Amino acid sequence: MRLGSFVMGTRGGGYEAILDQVVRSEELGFDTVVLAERHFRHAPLLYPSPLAVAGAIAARTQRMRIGTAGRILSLDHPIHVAEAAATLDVLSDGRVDFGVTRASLDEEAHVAFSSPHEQSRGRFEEALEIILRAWTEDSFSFEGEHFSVPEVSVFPKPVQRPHPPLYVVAVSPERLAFASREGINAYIGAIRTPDELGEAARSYRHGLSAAGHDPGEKTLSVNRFIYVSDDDRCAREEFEQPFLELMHERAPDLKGALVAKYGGVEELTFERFLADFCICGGPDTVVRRLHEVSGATACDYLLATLNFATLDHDLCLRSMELFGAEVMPALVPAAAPA
Amino acid sequence: MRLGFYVTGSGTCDHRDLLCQVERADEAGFDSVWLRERHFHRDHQGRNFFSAPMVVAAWIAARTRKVRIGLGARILPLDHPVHLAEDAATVDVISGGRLDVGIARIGENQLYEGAFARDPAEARSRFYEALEVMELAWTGEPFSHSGKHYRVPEVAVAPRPVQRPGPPVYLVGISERTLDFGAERGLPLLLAGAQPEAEVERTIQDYRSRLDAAGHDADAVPMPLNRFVYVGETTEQARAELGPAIADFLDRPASVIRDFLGSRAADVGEEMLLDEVFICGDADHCAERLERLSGSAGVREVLCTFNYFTLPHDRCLASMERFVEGVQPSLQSAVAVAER
Repeated sequence: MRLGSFVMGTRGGGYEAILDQVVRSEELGFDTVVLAERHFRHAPLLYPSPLAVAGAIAARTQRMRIGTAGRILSLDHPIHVAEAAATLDVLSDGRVDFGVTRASLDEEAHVAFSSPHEQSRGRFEEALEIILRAWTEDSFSFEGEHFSVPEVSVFPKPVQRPHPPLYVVAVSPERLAFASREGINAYIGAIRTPDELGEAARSYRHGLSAAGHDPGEKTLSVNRFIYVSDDDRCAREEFEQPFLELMHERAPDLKGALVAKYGGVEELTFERFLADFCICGGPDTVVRRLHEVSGATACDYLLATLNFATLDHDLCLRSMELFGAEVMPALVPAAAPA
Repeated sequence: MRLGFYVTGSGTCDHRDLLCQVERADEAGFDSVWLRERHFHRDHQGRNFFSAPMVVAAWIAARTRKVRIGLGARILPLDHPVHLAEDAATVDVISGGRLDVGIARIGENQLYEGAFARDPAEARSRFYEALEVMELAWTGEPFSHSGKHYRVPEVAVAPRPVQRPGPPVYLVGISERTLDFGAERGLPLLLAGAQPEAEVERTIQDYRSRLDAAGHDADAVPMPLNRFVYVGETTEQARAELGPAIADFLDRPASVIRDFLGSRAADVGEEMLLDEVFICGDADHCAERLERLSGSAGVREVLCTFNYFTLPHDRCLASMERFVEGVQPSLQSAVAVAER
């Protein structure tokens, strides 16, 4: 199992603090950093332009892979996306994991970019085809329902051949089925229980096999909110308030999904989050609970959301250090933090 | 005189070379580095560093400390103005407020409009409207917009740029209407690299009078001039080393050369380019040419294109070093004298 750090933001919102965290995560032995895309969120959720932030990360890191989870393909022109991701692949010497998602959870973004949510499936699938052709064909043209591209040659081409590894954010059963059918690596979600993740993992792999793809060649990546402190009591004291603030006030898209899942805003309690999808504790507790997740899913990648936007930079760094020193060796015995 | 480095890229440089040149410019005290936006183009090695300039700008921002980073220019009609605003604000934050945003109405050919599904007839109205939306977005305050091309419901765009009210906007354009639009708003004007010096002088005078007419203080409006600069050990050696790049320029279609050279297009040739367009020679020659531009034409900022086309990285870097050692000090002292 490989380890990644999923970056949501940091309290105060400074990109400098985020770059420091990413650089430190590379030193600690994380294999990858993954960025989301969000629009119209005030600090500290600052990711309308993940590929620009990734450009800065490429400049400050040497080894770690840089992923997106995901570029919202229905909101942008696919040639812009193809050019930006290929440019990043060149600048990073081939370290891009290109993750895409169909639509934003925010209706607001679809209205602002004049890209109606109901068209997002068609736009997503056409955009993905255009991006792959822009990367892999000397020249191409495309005639679809949403996009029409006359014959063009798009440059640069990515460094990775035939193209950077492709991932899709597969939160809905429909996207998971798409990922299986098309044989695309999958990110599965942050707010599901280990049992639900296990069910999704089985369904993904079954779907891959059914479509003639080898599940052993595809990467399944699972995301968890994680906070590590000296012991369980300290961890909860430090983590509960900022995490509740994130879920209740800062991320309306996640909150909406949770309300739909649990049946009401009054159900969104810390106990429930802790039982279902966030991991907070001393190193032993965190290791045990991560083993539950990896046992349930047999995931290839574990993405740890260590800085979830409402956590202070110092606490995030300390949690990251403890993760590197005491959790990582138990999960990946070969990992040796710098 | 303020100095910038206009990064054109070269068929013989890879991205590490490019970064090395940019880092050198930052260390040497250049005021700015500038990137362009160029689609569907490749150099001899199949490379294009300029189809996603915001990604490259963020990469440069993370590796430099003081130098400003300019985009010369984003082609506004090709992207949604909220995306343009978000990308620019992100780079402004990452760079600690070092971004300058050049804006252009059209790219180098009509393939751009076709590929991005834009009607060329709408380029001008999209350009104006995109700038308006981008500037509203940079306020960080809730706004809505309902125009001919874009309808944006009430949103507040984040992040907010570090620079207030937003990154400085520079105009790139040569048409009468575009120049009037820029002068009306008092926008700084980027002057193209291939204009002969007499043309540059005329363009500056022309834009100054448009600024005057619009009630702006022309002295307060930057008009950075892009120049191809190559500094050799001797003038003869410099001219010989730049030969292939000049031959390449002369190979371009007549219409392109006419656009660049204006009234001097009929006289185009190696000698004319070396005397009136390229600044190429030993350090004294280059300093003299730049001082003359600063005196007669009133140029106060030069963006040097050091890595033009077929020039190899080591020659480009050597030329930059000779510039830093032999040209830069005299330009900076000339400014000191002028200001005394």
